Amino acid sequence: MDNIYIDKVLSGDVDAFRYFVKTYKDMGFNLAVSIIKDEQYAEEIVQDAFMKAFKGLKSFKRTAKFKSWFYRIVVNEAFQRLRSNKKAPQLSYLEDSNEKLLEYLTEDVHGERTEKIRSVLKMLPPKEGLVLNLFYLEETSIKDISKITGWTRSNTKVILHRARKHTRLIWQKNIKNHE
Amino acid sequence: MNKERKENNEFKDEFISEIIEKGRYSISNEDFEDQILQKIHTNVNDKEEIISKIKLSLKFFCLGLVLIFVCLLGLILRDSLSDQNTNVLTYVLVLFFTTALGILSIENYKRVINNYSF
Repeated sequence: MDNIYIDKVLSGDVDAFRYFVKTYKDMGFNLAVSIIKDEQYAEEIVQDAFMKAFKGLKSFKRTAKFKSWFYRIVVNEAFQRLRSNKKAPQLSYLEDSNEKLLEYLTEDVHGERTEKIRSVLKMLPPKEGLVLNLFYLEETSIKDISKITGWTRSNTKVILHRARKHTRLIWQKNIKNHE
Repeated sequence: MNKERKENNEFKDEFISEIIEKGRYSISNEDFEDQILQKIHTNVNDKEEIISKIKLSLKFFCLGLVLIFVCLLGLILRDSLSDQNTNVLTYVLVLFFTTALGILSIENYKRVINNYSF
């Protein structure tokens, strides 16, 4: 399906690009949030990623999936923004995460479970948040995650293992007490 | 293939899946798609404008090149008809280098146009 729309865009039907925006915007957004931890920045990142994808569509090699290629652009863009933008929220993680999480939970501004879960996920380091989203939300294989992130397979597995452990730890220590 | 499946199964975790699923985001900005499409249209229009200007410039460049050729050929013909063979070699050399320069420049134009088009 993606290839049909790629051909359409390349033949000059610019509006056909809407298909890609519609299909991948939310997952792209999830990946960007998992890295940058800020919805507003994440939206900008996804926009920039779509523009880059559009401009680079001509050079896209059909041997890879469009999805993986686009997610790679989002991931690179987000990490680049994380490195360069000092204003972006730089959360420090596990060592002080419990304290921060408690703060989030006791504030309980939205009073919704989803918000609490999101707060927990925002406590994870960018790489761990990213790998969890790719593996559990998008059901991407370890092999494809390695391609998207540029990490080795063993490194991906280590990060994924650590991410699961950290998520459980934060969840068990904090969320359960507040329910 | 089996190894890969095994590797992925190793990390299957319903609890984490549920948490990640529940914490899923979606872009709340309803105009998001339109904004991107608008940006893309602007980008395409800008490129088209640039291409049309480059093409116009290419036309003038080719016209200039043709004029140089005509002048040089005229000079060569004049000198050869009036038996003044002294400058013919110089003219041929100039003609040769102008041709080479012309070809290189046109190739460069092509590259620029390709960069700005699909």
